[in-house]
Amino acid sequence: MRPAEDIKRLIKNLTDKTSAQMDERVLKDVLSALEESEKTSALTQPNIWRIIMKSKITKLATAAVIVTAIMLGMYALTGSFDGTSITMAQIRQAMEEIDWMQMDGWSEEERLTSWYSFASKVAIHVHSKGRILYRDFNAGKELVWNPGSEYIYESPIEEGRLEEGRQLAGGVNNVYKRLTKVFDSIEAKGDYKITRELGIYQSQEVEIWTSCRVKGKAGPTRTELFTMYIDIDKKLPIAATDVKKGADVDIQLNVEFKYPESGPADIYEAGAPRTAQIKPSPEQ
Amino acid sequence: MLEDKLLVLKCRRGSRDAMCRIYEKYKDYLLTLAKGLLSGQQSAEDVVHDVFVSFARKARQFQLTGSLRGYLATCVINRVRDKIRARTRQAEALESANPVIPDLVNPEHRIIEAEELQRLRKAISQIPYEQREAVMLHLKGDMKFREIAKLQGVSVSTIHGRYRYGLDKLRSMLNSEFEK
Repeated sequence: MRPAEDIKRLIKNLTDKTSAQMDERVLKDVLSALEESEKTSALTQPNIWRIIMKSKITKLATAAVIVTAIMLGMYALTGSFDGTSITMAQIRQAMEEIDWMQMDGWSEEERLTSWYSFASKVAIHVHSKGRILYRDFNAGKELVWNPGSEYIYESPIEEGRLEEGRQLAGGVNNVYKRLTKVFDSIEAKGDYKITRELGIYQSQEVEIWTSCRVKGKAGPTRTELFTMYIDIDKKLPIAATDVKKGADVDIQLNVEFKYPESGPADIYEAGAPRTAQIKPSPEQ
Repeated sequence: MLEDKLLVLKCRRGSRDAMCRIYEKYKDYLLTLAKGLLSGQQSAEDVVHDVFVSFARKARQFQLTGSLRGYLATCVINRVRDKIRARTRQAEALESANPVIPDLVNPEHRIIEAEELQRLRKAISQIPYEQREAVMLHLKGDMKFREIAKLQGVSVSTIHGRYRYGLDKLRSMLNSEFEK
């Protein structure tokens, strides 16, 4: 009588090897399926907004606004910073005169260029992989173009996204005002030490504001050192970097801010091919 | 596990090399599993082919939540079930296969072992499918009983029973062959 253990061992030892013919047949079909999926994915990919919002660079841009908000909060509490030339009131004043803001962000993995028009309530995002999102809050619609696609898909802006439009309506300062309250409390906890000094950024004289973690533990989503560069003449933020470090994480995100007189007039000017036709999104 | 996550991530970006690597890594394991459940060489190859092609089609949107090995094994099981449902339960003739016998150097021993495996395959193909699945997934697929129970939609004790009955039947069949 064979023991059960013997049968178990035999089954565990069962091994079949694929033949060269099978490998050739499967790989040929698999690679062609992969290629096909790439084409269809380019045509139907609906998640550009999710991709953009999940982008670390977008988060950095938000962080830049947040740090400024922290400064605003400090300014509101103390009235001024010690012996520095730029005051938050000046920045606020400078920001109020702005219509268009351009943001170029990059990390090792990706790049993102965005334009915001506070007067016409438009946001445009161009991702390094070529995807373009054009969102018009006045018209309540968004246009998406994916690389390789012959079409630009149009859909109404979801209710949940309208908050962005409301922020745009109030200009940059509206965002700052709303965030100030939140970040006053963060600052009050004393997790970060904020310093300011004069310096140079790309041959330009700037004020460098840093926000350095002094409490808590390092982590992949936690900022270790945030640096923002403020143009001394124009009193506007021109760049920011965010360093995150963890056990196996060492990321630096970079953003540069520009304030052009205008931005892309439509999705075609943002880079979509002129031949691409606008049609309703198949997801509707 | 980490390597698999990286490979899946690369596949999502359209990497052909990553897709080939996944195929190389799991092709034999999946073929053995499919063949154990179906017993026919051609049918088993078709199942593995279909599983990889389907995986490639959705690679761009694929999100790996557990183990890739487990996911692919589950795909094989589903395809095997489809095949079994699609055809009437006629025993597929045991095709001549070339099983690889590891860790054996002695040629005489190898012949004996090969014959033994042939008998085993035949016996496996003759036990009821649910039992076969429980035995193969536990022993060859390294799946836990609760994982198989979830897959088959029955309780863990039912799987224990199927596994035990399956092994008993195999033992009885192989012993009767041996004693002939």
